[in-house]
Amino acid sequence: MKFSLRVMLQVIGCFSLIPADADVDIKGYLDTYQSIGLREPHRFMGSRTRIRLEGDFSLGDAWAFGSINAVYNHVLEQETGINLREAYVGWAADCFDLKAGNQIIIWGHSEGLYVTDNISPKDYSEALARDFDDMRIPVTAFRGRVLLGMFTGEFVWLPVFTPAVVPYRQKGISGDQDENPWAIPIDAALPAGKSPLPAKKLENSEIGVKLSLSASALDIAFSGLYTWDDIPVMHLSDAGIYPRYHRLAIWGIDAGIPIGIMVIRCEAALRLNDFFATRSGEQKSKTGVVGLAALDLSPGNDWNLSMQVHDTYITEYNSSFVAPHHDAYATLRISKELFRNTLTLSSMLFYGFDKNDSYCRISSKYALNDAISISAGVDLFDGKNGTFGQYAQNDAGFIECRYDF
Amino acid sequence: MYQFHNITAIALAILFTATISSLQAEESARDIMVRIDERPNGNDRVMSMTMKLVGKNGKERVREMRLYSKDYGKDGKSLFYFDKPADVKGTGFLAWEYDDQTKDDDRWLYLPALKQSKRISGSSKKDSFMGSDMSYDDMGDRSVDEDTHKLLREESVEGNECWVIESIPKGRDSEYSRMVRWFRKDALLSVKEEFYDKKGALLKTLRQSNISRVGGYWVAHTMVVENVQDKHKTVLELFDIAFDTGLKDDLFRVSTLERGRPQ
Repeated sequence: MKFSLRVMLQVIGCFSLIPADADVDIKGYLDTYQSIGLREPHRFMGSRTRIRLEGDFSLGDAWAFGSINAVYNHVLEQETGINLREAYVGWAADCFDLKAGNQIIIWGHSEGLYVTDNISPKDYSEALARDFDDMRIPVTAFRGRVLLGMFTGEFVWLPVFTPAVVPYRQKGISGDQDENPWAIPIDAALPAGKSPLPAKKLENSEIGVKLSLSASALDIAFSGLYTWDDIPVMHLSDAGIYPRYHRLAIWGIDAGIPIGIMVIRCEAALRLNDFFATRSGEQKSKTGVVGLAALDLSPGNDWNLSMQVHDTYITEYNSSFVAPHHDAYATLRISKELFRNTLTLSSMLFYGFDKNDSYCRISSKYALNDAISISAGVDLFDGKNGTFGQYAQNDAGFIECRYDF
Repeated sequence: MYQFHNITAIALAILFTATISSLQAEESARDIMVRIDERPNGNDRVMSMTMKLVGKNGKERVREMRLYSKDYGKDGKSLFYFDKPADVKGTGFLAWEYDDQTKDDDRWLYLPALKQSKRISGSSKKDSFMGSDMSYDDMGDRSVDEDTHKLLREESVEGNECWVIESIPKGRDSEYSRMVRWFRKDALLSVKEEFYDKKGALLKTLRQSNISRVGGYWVAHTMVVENVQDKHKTVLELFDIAFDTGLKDDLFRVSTLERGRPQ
């Protein structure tokens, strides 16, 4: 259970700093999500209840924002507790703005697949039982933007590295992921070492620059990020596995072009010093090229369709690599709103071409009133292995209730 | 024979006169619509809006938003942020609207949960605006020449002299077969509108009331749109209205939208 007195004191301390004449805006929600397996023994795939509080305090051109989660997780007890998510201060002028503190930073516009979105790492503790928005982990960062008409220049500095959370479970060894249906098993014969985080030094900080243009009929952005790979590379030695984080340079481009009822999205990234496993267990550094092409359609009558194709390509490829030369995924999302936007029916399908595996979420959401909504649906997995196939036993039905205030 | 020629000439003269009169009436209706379209309403405007959706069972849902808009010749830019309901609070919408019918509007949606804007397509104009009885097309500024206009008559509504104008969409993209509107001559604002569906049946009505001058410009403070076919109603109330406030161009850029606040 996570309950940090330090967090509470930080929050109370922050509140005490708010000037009396500041505009204060508090909002949040209470939600509960229960997901039960459709296969024997019908175990809980996710069971959590959460209160989210968000406070926005503004005074003139300055503002502060904080969000806090109080969670009870029935399946993953280690997730139960109170934790501070975002907490930052900001200042805006006509032609620039600054933000400093714990914040979520998203680059790119892909949905559920990541190309240039490499700043805020992801929390895979509950994998697909958690919304994509909730998977992002806030990072401690300084973010500055220069705004010149349709152009925006952005600078990001992350003084401290924040890793992704991946629920590894060693086969045959008891640990805190034993009850987690989303844990990823690793071979127990090879004792996994702890992932040493990069030391908190200036030279280990991460920096990023983005230049974007938002014009009529075209949005385009170019980005460069000197970062760490958020997930450690599992190196193999005689002593066993030793996870290690590596430096990574990512050059990216993303664009959005509206044409009538469509928006075409393209996103690509060149990943220098990306590591790929070979069949012998060795990890080799190569340049990875990640691309995404997408089409959003709004044909009318409250129908929305979105298609994405995502591919990871390894340069200087040879047959010793475990991953295919092209590792491609596709997604298809269809949604329809009914009864004046009170009922939303949607379906989101992920398909992996290499392993022929898939994940499909079919759901419905009904707004009982302006504050309360109920969602229900099923998560269906197919395949023998791969990103989605590994969860083939995790088919589940879920229900979620949410009260916004 | 002579008599026949005479009758034919008279008939042709009557037909010619009627055609000319009809053309003049249509021209006159278009002129009125141009005047209405060019009604002074400031170079920019700021206002708050409450939108109440009322179902046939009386159940109400309420949306509140703050709107900012500015004219750029015949084009316009608008920005609004939602304050209610709680689940969409902070959601922003930026639109660059063009008078040129061949050019799609540019639109971006800002989602506070993602702290990021997303470009959305500009052409699904028939969709309901936030579950209301108005479509995006109803909310937008329809160009005068997208419809053919005809002055049906002049009559008084609640003591105000009005033109009654019928407008028929030229293209097939409209959700209506025709619209009949009562425009107040003094304010150049409609007090009553009727919208007919593609089968010619009455679909919606609009009534505007609490019409007064704000900062020298005529404003309807209350609008009631009713879908008479499914008995659903939308009540719009405008308040805290200000014109010519000197809104900066910077307000209507995507990078400002992504701040999540009109600053």
